[in-house]
Amino acid sequence: MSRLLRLYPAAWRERYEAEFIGTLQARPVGPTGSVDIVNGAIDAHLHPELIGGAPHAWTHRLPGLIATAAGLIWSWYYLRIVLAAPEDWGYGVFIAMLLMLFAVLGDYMAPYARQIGLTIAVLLAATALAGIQPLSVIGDGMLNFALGAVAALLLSGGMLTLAAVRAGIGAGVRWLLIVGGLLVPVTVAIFVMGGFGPTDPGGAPAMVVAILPYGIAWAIIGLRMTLRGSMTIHDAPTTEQISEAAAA
Amino acid sequence: MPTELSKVAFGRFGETAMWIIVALASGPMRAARMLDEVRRLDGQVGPGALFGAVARLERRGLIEPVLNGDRQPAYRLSMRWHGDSLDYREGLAR
Repeated sequence: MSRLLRLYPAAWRERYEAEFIGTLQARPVGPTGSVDIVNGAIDAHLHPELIGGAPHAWTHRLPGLIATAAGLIWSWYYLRIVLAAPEDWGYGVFIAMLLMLFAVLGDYMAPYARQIGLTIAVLLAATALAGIQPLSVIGDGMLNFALGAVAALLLSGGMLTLAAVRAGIGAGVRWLLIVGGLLVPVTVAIFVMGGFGPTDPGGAPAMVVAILPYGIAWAIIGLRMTLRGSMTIHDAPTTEQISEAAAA
Repeated sequence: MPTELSKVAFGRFGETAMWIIVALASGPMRAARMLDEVRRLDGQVGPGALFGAVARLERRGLIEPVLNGDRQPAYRLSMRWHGDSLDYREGLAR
């Protein structure tokens, strides 16, 4: 049960965790108590001022809400393909990608400018090379496909990583989300679509296996980002940030 | 107790916060005992709600952490609640 305390903000845990654990040991709680603890964690994230933090402006919740919406739209879009098999695929994926882009833009990117720049450069190079037709003679077009896949993975993985960084998710869980939300599903889908599995090669189920977890990962990250709050590009620095910068 | 005031100041933690104050009126106590007392007065309250209310009360300076006789962390009513100038309405509404 005390594992649920990890859901609380770090500053809150620093102040109350030991007492909370002592209380849980003295008065164990059941499933209802778990819901109560999760509710308390959400409240603690929504009210950082209770433990000395600066209160969040409503704009600080925007990136998280946008990321959550992107994840839900993405997931709904690909579920719809399987459940309803629509003739038209709609614009869901484009809207979701646009929202993902909005969700990751922010001041927090500055320390990662070099890595982001390098990723974009490789991404553009792979995209450009994938479009070169003479290369299709190599492996009957497989090289173009591989380059396109590298570009797509870099784009989707890079965006997911940035969102996770913005949500304050640590490196371990970040990798878990990337592997579980992107790398494993895509590998499974390539395996299935390559005709090695029982599913109809190239069919909608394979696509959902490949792509739905990505939307779920975005929704999870978005929820975390919403609760934690994140500075937007146009926000003035808080008093605390100014003090920290002055001290540094 | 001014329920309507406490709800304004403490949101959904108002009732729990009030019963914490009632419980602490009998003296300092640890969180586990506070939970027992609040449950006795207010029914089923979880530790999440208890600490949510404790954080709000502490933030407003209405209760304060102390060490009890066993050097264990406990809480007591702050000095704001003692003497002739006691005004819980002011405290809760802050």
